[in-house]
This record gives sequence, C-alpha cells and structure tokens, in this order.
Amino acid sequence: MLDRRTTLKLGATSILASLVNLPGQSLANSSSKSANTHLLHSHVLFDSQYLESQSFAAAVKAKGTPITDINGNLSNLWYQQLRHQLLSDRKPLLGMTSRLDLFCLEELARDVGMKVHLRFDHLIHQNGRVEHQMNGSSFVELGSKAGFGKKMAELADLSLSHQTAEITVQKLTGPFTPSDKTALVTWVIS
Amino acid sequence: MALPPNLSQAEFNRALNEFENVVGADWVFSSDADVALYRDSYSPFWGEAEERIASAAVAPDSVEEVQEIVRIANRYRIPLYPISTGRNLTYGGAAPTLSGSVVLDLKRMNRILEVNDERNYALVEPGVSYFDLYNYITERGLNVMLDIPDPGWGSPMGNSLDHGVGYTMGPYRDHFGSHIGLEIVSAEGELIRTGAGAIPGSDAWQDFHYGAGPSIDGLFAQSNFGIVTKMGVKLMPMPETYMTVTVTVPRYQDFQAMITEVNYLEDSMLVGMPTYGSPVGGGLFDPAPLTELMQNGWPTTEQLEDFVSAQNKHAWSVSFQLYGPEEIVRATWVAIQRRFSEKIPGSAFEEDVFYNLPIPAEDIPALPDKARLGIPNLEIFHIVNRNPMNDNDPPDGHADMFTMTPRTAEGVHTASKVLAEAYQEFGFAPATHPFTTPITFYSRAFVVAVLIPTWRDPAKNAVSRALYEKCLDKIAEQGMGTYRTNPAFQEHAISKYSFNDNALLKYQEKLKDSIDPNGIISPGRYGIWPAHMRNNRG
Repeated sequence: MLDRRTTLKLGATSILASLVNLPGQSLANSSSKSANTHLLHSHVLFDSQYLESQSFAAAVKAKGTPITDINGNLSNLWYQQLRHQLLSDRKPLLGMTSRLDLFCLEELARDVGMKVHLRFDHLIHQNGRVEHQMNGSSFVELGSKAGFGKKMAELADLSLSHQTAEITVQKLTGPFTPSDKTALVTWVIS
Repeated sequence: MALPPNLSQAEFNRALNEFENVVGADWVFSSDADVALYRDSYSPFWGEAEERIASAAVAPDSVEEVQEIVRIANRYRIPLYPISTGRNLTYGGAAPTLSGSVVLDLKRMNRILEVNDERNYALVEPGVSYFDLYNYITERGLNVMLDIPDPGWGSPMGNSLDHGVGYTMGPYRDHFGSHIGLEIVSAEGELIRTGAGAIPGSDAWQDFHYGAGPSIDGLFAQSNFGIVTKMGVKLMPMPETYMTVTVTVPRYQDFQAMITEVNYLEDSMLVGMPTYGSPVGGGLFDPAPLTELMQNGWPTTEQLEDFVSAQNKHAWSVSFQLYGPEEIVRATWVAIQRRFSEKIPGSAFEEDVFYNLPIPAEDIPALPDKARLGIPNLEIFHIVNRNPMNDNDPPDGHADMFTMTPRTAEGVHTASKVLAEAYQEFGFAPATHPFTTPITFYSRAFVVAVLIPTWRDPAKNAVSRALYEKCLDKIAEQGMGTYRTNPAFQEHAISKYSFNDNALLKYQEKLKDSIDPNGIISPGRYGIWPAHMRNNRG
C-alpha cells in the first residue's frame, strides 16, 4: 500500500483523491481482513476539538477499535498513560490531531524508540477549502470536502500494514500554523 | 549518514559493535531514520550542509555503561554529545554541535533517586523529566514545589546544565544556581562527585554545596568538560498560599523608578518573579501598534509621554508572584503598595489571584500560567502558535536571543533600540520598541528577548541567520551579549566575550586540553574546541 513503491505507482493524487471520492475506494477495498486487525492492535488518538477528528474517531470506533481523546491535554495523556503503554506493548500509534500535537508526539516518541512513518497534512481554510498533502509531497486541493476524517479512518487500516522508513516524512513541520487555517494531520507513529 | 571526523565507515562500524556490546544492540541507533530523530526541529540550517547531524546515538542505562562508552570513544576518538531529554528547542535540541558526533542519549537513566521534603531537595539522573519529577512528588504527597521551564518536557538536569530558567522565587529560577551536588563521568571515564559528595559516606551531598577547595561545578554547564550523571536539585517548600498582584505607573519616565523599587523588593527576597509589561506597549507576542510612532526613528521622550497620554492608560506595569503564609503574603502586598505610593505618584494597584496551595487536582487543568506554580505543561506552544508575528507565514521554529542588559531603564531601552535597528535594516517590522520590557528569568538580571523565526526553507533561514548575527553584533557594540544560544550561533556569541584578547576562551581551551585530551565530549560547544580541531573549528 503506502510503501514508497506503491505510492509512486498509484500516485499521491490518486491516493489523496480517495479521500473525497466515495466510490473511489480502490485502496479501501483492497484492504483485507488482516489489515483491519492491524487497526485493532494499535492505539488511536483523536482531538474532540476538531470536527474532522471526531469523524475520524467515530469511524475508527465503529470498527471496534478503542479511541482516546487528547482534548488539549496531550502532556497528561503521554506521561500518565501512553508512554508506559507504548513501552510495554509497542503497538503503533495512529491519530488525527492538530499539527501541534503531532509535533509534540514526534518529539516525545523518541523516548520510546518510535517515529513517524506516515503523515497526511490537511489544511482547512476558513471558507471550507481543504488542501491535503501526503508525506511532504505537494499540497493537493480536492475541493471542499468535509468528511475526510471518515475517509482517513478507512485508509488507516492500510497505513498500519505498510509504513515508510523515509526520513523525509519526519519532522516535516514545526508546531505552528497560520491563524487563518486549521492544520490537522493524520499520522502513524510506530 | 554523517561519519565522525577522520573515521572510516569500517572503523565506525567496529566502534558501533563495541557500543552494542556495552548497551545491547537495541540501544544503538545508526539507521538514517533513527538518527533523524535527533535532528534539531528548530534548526536554522534545516536541510543544508551546515545542519548539525549525528552519526549515531547510544542510550546507556547506567553510570558504568557511560564510563565504558567514554573509554571506547577515546580509543576511536569519536565525539560524543550527551543529552538528557534532548528537547531544548531553540538551543539545538538533540542535535550535536559537531556533525558526525554520536549522541549519548541518557534517557534510560531516568531514576529519581530521592526527594526529601524536610531538607527540600531531589537527587535525579539525566533522563528524569520535569513531568516525571512532578508526578513523583504529587503521587507521594510530598510538600515541595518545582521551579520549571516552559514548556516543561525537558529535564531538571538538562535544563540546568544549559543555564535554563523558571518562573518562581529568585533562588529557584536560576536552575543551575539551584543545583546542589553533581556526579560526573570525566572525559577519561573517571567518576567524580562534587561538594560534600566527594566525602565517602556523606549524607550532606544535597545540603552543602561547596565543600572545601575550589568548586568545579560551573565547568559542567554550557560546556564540554564532562558528562553529568547525577544532580541534586534544591526544591522550594510548598508555599501555603500564592497571590499575584500588579502595579502600574503612569508616565513613560517612571520606568527607572519602577525598576529601582522592583530591584529592592526582589533583592530583599520579598517577591517572586517580577513580570514587567506595558499597558500601552503590548507584550512579547503582542507587539504594540507603534508603527506610526516609530516611522521617523526612535521617538523622543516627549513624543513617548504624549503617546502614553493619548492612550489614556498607564505606561508600565509589573506583576509580582507572592508565595508563603497568607498573613505574610498579604502584609507584603500592603508594603508593596505603600512603597510604590511613596516613590511613584499615581501608581495604581490591583490584586489578581489568590490560591491556597497545593491546588486541588481537579482545578489544575483550568489553571492559567501553570509554570508559576511549578506544574509542567506544554501550553506555551499554543501561545506562540497564535501570536500576531506568525499570522501570515508561520515559521517552523525560532531561535531565541536574550540580550543581557543592566537592570536599568536605559539598558533596556538601549538594547531595544539597537535590536529594532537590526530588524529595520533587514526590512522587517521591529520586534522591539520603546515600550519593550525586560524579562527577569534570573533574579538580579534583565534580558530583552527576540524570537527569530527558523524555517524548512533554506533561503528564509539564510535571512534569519543573518538577522540573528546582526543582532549579536549590534548589542555587542553596546557592551551587551547573550547568555545562551543555538549551536549555529555559539561561535559568534562567544566571540563577543573578548576581554583581554579572548582570555576567557583561552583559559577554557587550556582546561579542555587537559581535561579532554582526545576532545571527545561535545567538541565546539560554546566555542570550546579540542586542540586538534581548533584551527579548523570543526
């Protein structure tokens, strides 16, 4: 799936297009039952302050996977729960969060020997336009597409079974975002 | 992947094997993806040849493992770069000063060895974070309070050894100044303890700082003379109450009188961190709309007084943090009001918040300004994230520059003026102005802050670097310097400490040559290079 070869073969645009093309579920349909089990064996984070992240979480939860809400308090979640869990079970960490929270998680994950393997950046303009970017490639605007959170949850199965070790996907941005946009990120840390 | 200087890949592979024999293969990181985790997220050289990149990282679990790693490094002459949590963003983070260094990641040495709430200290290993120590204290109901940096995800040891600072009472805000006792692995692998800890069997290691003879503790902060493996930390007894109060003074020219009074209060240890501000001038993340006022250069005092009058607000403010029993805190506030009223006519006073301590757990999440109560958090990222300076083109990080100024109004204004000139020379709106106020991270000291953006874009970084260096040059012309800086600027910053033909650096180099003859610990940190790298400067 989203290893480098597959990415090049499919093209980032087509992968991103699946974010908005409901019938275009070639990627989602190619997921197998085994891919679904990957999701069940991971920690999934979302942030209830963001609608798309809520949609993402709802879709993940509908598959029977437990979800955890950061809700603006990442530090407590990390130091009192996640860090210990990851050290003991080594499960991948998947989420849709703010860019700031991913920045912090990426720094913190080094403590447990984990790193970002995949990231989709979603820039939501105030007028509803959404731009998406996969692993630092060019931003692709795919119209005003509310509901990409749900679609990202569908792609999440695949992302956990195939991850890139490219260093170019790491530390793509700092923590800051323009004040006139919302920057969300869907990511895998493992 | 970068290699250590003057080492072939084959030699380095042998060294890595030896490291693995000490710490286990799981704790030696040499793949490109693993080493990339140690990049400086705020690097002013991101993606460029000059970006400082490690060759590998090694994570020992004990002092004995550190000693053995040091011995191996000496055999191969591999530079090591010790980090604790490696999250000292704006000052280099986990990235080494010299590319090709092996990061000595001390995160696994994360034991809290003792917290004593009768003698009020903690003894910690390098990998203990402020969050870890806070949780330890809270879970056990110990009657002490931390002084923390903001954000709080670093470590007491790492922050102290980089001259980091906090937000409470004077003796605790200077984190290195409030350490008490060190254990160090020398560059040759010897184990040393300082102060009373050098007496075998001493139980006073975290009580008595100096001991007899010269104290060498200062050699290990912002330096490369050894690897600290234990550190004592003085802790403030949990105060009974906490109150913040604010005083404002009306006129632009009242600033010096205000400073004199604040100096009296803080040097008498009657108040915690004073926070200066300006009701008309905005703050660090909210610069005042002074463009029109400054369009013809630095305004005159008369113009500034007119500006203040037109705003119908007071010119300056200072907030105090008061800690202690309620009767003392309230009596201190009464005394503050009396003194200001006597010395600066027109002073106004406001009581802000009052808390009984400790704060109940259920009230903490909603608490603003947690740092002043020693509660680690990451909320400062939200503040910096949304400041007006970032609106249109948010940077990927920032390189902070704190100018040390005299504790006078003139000192603050001089620094603000020359920094504004530097920004204007580059065509930027000035980050400082006539109402810029100092920050009192250290008691008895002022710094004036500018946060220069860093990027993933080399062209933008080139401009930021040039601006930073221009700022260093301009403050040096005024006899001022910075106390802490990113490795990208350390040589430049240290070059300004040039009294008597750079006598200070020469002395440090003599020490380096003696203490670390193979030059394996953090070569180049704060301008101190081992002899064999000195002429080429790495």
